[in-house]
Amino acid sequence: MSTLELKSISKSYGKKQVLDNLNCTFEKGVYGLLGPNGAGKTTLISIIVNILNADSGEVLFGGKLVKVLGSDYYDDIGYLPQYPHFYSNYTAQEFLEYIAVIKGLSKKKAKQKIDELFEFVNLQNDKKKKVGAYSGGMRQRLGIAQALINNPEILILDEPTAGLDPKERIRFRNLISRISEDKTVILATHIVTDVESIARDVILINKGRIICNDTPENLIESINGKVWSFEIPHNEIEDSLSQFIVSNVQYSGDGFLIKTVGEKPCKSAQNVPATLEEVYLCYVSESGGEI
Amino acid sequence: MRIVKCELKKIFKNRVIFIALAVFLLLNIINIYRNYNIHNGVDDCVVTGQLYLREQLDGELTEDKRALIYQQAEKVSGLLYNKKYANQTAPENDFITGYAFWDSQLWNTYRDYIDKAQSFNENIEQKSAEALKKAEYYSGKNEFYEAENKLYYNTYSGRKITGIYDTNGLPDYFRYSLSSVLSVIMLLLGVVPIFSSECECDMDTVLLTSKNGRRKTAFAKIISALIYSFAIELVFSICDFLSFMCFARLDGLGQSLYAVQGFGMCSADITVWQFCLILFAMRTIGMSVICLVFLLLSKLFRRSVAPFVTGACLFFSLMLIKTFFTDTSGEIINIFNPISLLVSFNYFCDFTAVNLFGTPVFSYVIVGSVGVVIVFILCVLIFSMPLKMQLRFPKLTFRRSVRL
Repeated sequence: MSTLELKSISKSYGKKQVLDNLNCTFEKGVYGLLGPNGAGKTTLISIIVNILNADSGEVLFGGKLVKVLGSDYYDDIGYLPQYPHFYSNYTAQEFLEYIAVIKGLSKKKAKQKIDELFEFVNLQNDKKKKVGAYSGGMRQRLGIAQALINNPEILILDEPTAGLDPKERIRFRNLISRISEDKTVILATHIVTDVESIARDVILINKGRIICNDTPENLIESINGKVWSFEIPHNEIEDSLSQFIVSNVQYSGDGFLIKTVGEKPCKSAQNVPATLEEVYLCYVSESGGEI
Repeated sequence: MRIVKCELKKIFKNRVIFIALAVFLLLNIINIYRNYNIHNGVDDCVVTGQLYLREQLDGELTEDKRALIYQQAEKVSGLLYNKKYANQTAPENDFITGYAFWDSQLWNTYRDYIDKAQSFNENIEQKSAEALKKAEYYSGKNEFYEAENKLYYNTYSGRKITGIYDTNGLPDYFRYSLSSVLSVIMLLLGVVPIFSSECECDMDTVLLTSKNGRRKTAFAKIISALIYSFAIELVFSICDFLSFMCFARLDGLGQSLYAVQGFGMCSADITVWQFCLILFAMRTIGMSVICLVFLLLSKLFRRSVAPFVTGACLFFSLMLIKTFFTDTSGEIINIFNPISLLVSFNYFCDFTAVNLFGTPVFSYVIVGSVGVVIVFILCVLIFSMPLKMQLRFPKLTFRRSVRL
């Protein structure tokens, strides 16, 4: 299993610095790439998959520069873009057959792999359906299948659960967990719950910088004692929302029960266990991001 | 090859292509039927008579045929002075068409063919001799004029029309251009989505992250677009030919092109058959140029609507340029205009030589060669364009801005 290394990656569009000296190493397992919209996630992914050049820095796979590896690099890459539509007039079977061709698989190998993948993503009964008739979840599963067809070492998923209902989202998460057994999965998202339970490491990125990179447990541990819960009367809700980093507001008979992240907001506030969502809020606000 | 097959499949997966093709072919056939049908505005008896005479007379002009045609033309025309035949209302078995008037028309047509052939044979020799004299005159004075006149002499001397054919339908067939317009619309429908639809359905990034999804796919797309263009041109050419054969009853395909009305001064010494093939080749080159221009537009835009509209406007502009730019500078511009290749029969009607570094070269050779060069340049340009163009030049390519 080869490792993927990012060394001092920087990228800017005009005067806007999108990525600023990013360093990171990816090994086997799921990596959650978390960050608000506009944080630089998609740009970073575009650089990792070599469809965008970094202004400076290097991407190495198995110790070799991906630029040097050339098209061989793509043998080890599977990529699911954000909001894929694919070819709506193709059946799922035809679509995967096409992907097999552009990924350089032989006819025989492709047939076998396609059958396996349909079973794996549980679309074996819908493979003759047109892709245009697929639901969002089915399309994402087909997207996973196309990304896995060449049996890549690295699987990159860009916002894969956006727009999916909870059932499909859980189904998708389970699928990713199964895949991560022997692969590096980089999952870019701004939905914290997508990575909370499956990620080996969470990389928080904001304004083009990695603001933290650790296991979910350690990250949660790092903000323990910074999450508070307290009640406020109805008329104070607006003030509280603007004053504190609020992670949750719950209506109670006499007022609102709110959860905040940061310093103790008031005497009556009680310390409560943190979640990854609060970690996200805490670090993003600390790094100057908008919540 | 597998990628080319896949790319072709992508084009033909679009149902609109087949619907449009069926409608356009039907439209084309109806148009030929309505405008070039041999029966149009003519009594059936005349058509029957015409076809009978074709069968009897078309071919090598012998003395017997010549005598028969002159004799019959004179005889039947003479009958028209008789009141009985001048106002004939009922058909008679003595006449091929049943009527003296129509018989006289048919026989006179054939007599005209003989006269024209004779006059052509005499004139062309005279003109060739004049060209030779001019070449001698310009010798040492103007190299180009000398060479041009020698070329004229070499081209036309020794030409002789030895056969007679009913060639009335051929010029119409050569000039027919509706199918070219319909083919271009088919190109718009099939070629414009080739690159832009990949962006529309977010497949561009999947292709860029696939082993064969980059240059190999770009190359396959170019090849498949050219194959599609050739297929469309072939289908419409076959449709035109068969429709004209069927409705206009084309005849004399084996004779020299210069024997066809309007092509007497044709600069190529070829038969009608060969000319049909050359026209097809020229149209194919023209279609390939247009196809690659559409493909280039498809590469530049992220949504199919923009290249579709731009392509249609561009085609319309090229047609206007071809129609209205007819002066000397306009002719030079039109050498680079692919529409010239779609209506290339013009270049064969007369002796038109271009001064190419002091050497006279027939304009159809120049136009054809320029077309081939443009095809090659466009292929190289599209192939070598950055694969990630929309990411590098978001403003230039009118694509959506980069997601950050």
